[in-house]
Amino acid sequence: MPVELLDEQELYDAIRPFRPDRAAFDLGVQDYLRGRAVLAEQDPARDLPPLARAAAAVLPLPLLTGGKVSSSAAVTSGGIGQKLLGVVLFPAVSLFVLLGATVLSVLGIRRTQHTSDPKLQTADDYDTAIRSWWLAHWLPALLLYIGMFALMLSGVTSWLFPLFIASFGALVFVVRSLARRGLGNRSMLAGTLMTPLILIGQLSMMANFGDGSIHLLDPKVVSYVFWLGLFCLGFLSFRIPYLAKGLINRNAGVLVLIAMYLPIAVLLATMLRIPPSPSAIKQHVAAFDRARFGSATWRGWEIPARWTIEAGLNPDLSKPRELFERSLAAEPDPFTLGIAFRVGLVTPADLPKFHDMGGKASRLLDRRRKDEAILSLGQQEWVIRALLMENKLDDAERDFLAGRLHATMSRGMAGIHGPLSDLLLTTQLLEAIDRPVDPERRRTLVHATLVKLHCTESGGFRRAGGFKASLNANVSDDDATAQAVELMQIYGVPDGLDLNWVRSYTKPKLVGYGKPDWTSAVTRERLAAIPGIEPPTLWQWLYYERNLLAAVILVGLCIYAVWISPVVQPAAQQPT
Amino acid sequence: MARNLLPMELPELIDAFRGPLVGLIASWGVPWRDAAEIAQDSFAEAWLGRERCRGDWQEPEVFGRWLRGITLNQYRSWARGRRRLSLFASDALDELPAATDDAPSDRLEALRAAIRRLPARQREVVLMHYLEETSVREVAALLTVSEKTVEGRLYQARKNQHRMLSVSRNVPLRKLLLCL
Repeated sequence: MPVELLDEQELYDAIRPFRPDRAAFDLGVQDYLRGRAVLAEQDPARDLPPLARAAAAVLPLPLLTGGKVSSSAAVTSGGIGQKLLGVVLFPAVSLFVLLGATVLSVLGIRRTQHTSDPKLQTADDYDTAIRSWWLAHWLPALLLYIGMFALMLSGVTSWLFPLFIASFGALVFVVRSLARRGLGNRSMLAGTLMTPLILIGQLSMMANFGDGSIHLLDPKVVSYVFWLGLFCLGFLSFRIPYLAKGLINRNAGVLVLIAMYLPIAVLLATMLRIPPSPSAIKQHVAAFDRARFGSATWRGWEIPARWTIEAGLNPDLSKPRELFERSLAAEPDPFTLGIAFRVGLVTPADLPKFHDMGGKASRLLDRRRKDEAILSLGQQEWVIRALLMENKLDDAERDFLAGRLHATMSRGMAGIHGPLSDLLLTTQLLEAIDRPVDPERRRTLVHATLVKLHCTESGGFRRAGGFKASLNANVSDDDATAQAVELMQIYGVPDGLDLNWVRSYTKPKLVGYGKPDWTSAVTRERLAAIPGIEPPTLWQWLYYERNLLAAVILVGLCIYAVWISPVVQPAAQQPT
Repeated sequence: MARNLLPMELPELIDAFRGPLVGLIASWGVPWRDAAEIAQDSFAEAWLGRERCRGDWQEPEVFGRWLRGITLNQYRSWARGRRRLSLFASDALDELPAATDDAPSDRLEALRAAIRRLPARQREVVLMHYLEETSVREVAALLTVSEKTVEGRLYQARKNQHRMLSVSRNVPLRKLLLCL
């Protein structure tokens, strides 16, 4: 028997009336896309990474972004897992986690007072208990140290924070497990906690620590927090009541302790550096009387010198002027001449001493080179400034030079001397020849160059956050960063460039040796003077310095744990 | 005119999947007008998020799977909204909406009633395939099944519908026989 089927045509006819109109359907899709585009434009979180957007579904955006974004945002439709991950990783959340971990740790430590087992009587009992404790816990302790060491060595401290938080838990665990074995007395606990504090304190002094993340304070300050905690624990463990009765007779160990700590304390104190103040910068500028490395030394001096002049600090330039006169006698290089002109060390009386100025000027003003870029502008600049000083440039020549300077500026990334240097020099020279550049006209070019040369990569002793002199350079440098910030003073800050990176790059080095970093100090001052730029918010400070905050709390918890633990009488203690 | 304003690949994708997608949504019990709107939103969302799609979204099979996932989310959102407004009947998913043509013949009415009575899987392929006479390839892509499976379901659906219509046509005769 053949199978009978319904005729397809009948089915078509039955359903056809429900067909959507094609044109109306397309228009509906278009309207939706257009609406989404408008929403995306108005979305304050549009530049946030997907995880942050997911987390925005749970937390207020200003908290989430450390104050970077201040209004409500559209959120992604991510799954619960994605949202949780976003929540765990982002700024304010980490601060809440820190607060929560602190409270839980304090409660955990308080509870250990009730779990202490005081069965141990003899020194052998103590010895055995200590050995068994270390045998049971050496592996996790080692892994924690290795993790911290690797993260600090890599320079990326973002992931160090969870490790610090994990240390809170480890601390509570150590306190409890020692208490359970009858070792929860003050001396024992302090001795156990001092070892990791010494280690973390030393690790956080590592050369790369903090170089790969944004920090507004020198991350090495974390080390001081741990050392301070170490000193406190050391003194706490030597039974305060006995100290009051006489140091020498009662406890010779205190003297040993002081003898050990004093050199470390002196060493740490000598490594602390105070950021240079404007008056210190002015004194530094005035004291310049020796250019050890020729134009490179002059360049290092010019940055603070020009700033002090622009800031109206009126530095005494007699010593630098004497140095320049000495270098004039020995025929200075063109870069030094350019610097001397920019800072105002050259007087009209010096002009006859410059060699071949006429020939250089005629090559610079050669009509055949109309609108042609000036090669190696850094070497030619002094000629233009000398011509200006002699008042030898008429209007036509100024227009001609302006054309060449604009052509030089337009080379952008192709500049030989360095794109940032070229952009800054051309801007300054155009101003000097009374043909000032229109910032609006050149803003796109300057911003594109700044974004291309901004470097947020670290590793291999590179500090992230500064600017590279050229695309070929592997590392950002202080001079290029100073030039970039000067350009931002004139042309504004490019969209998407987080100034906190630059703040992080130029932050004062509070720990270390050597002379103050004058260039960074001046760059910080210039950065703060950029019109319309707000200083970092409290949330940003807390977020970027969350490792320091966590370190302070961790040390505080250690001290608290030792402080509330019972003091064992000497007869019962003597573990070894 | 309107089509030129759309991104280049989107019109082709809409042409390929519009019919089966609207049919699929309608098979879940959504009124036709709402089904078309959900489909429009789904196309736009799928297009905007195409870079998140696993695999090459320009492959019909991949895009079909992606589009179906988006559509399910859109449908759930629509259903939640309906529930909030208390307009959403609990058995609406099993009901195929009534026709809107002005003067449907008895035969067409019977046919539509037969479609409503079909098992869910057969009903969805019928609506997806016959709404715009789309090829089984797009239907299969949206349902993430093979083309043979779609053809099999269509075959079963037509067979069932023929049986249902034959039975309903014979009802008066059977009633008469019972009376006798």
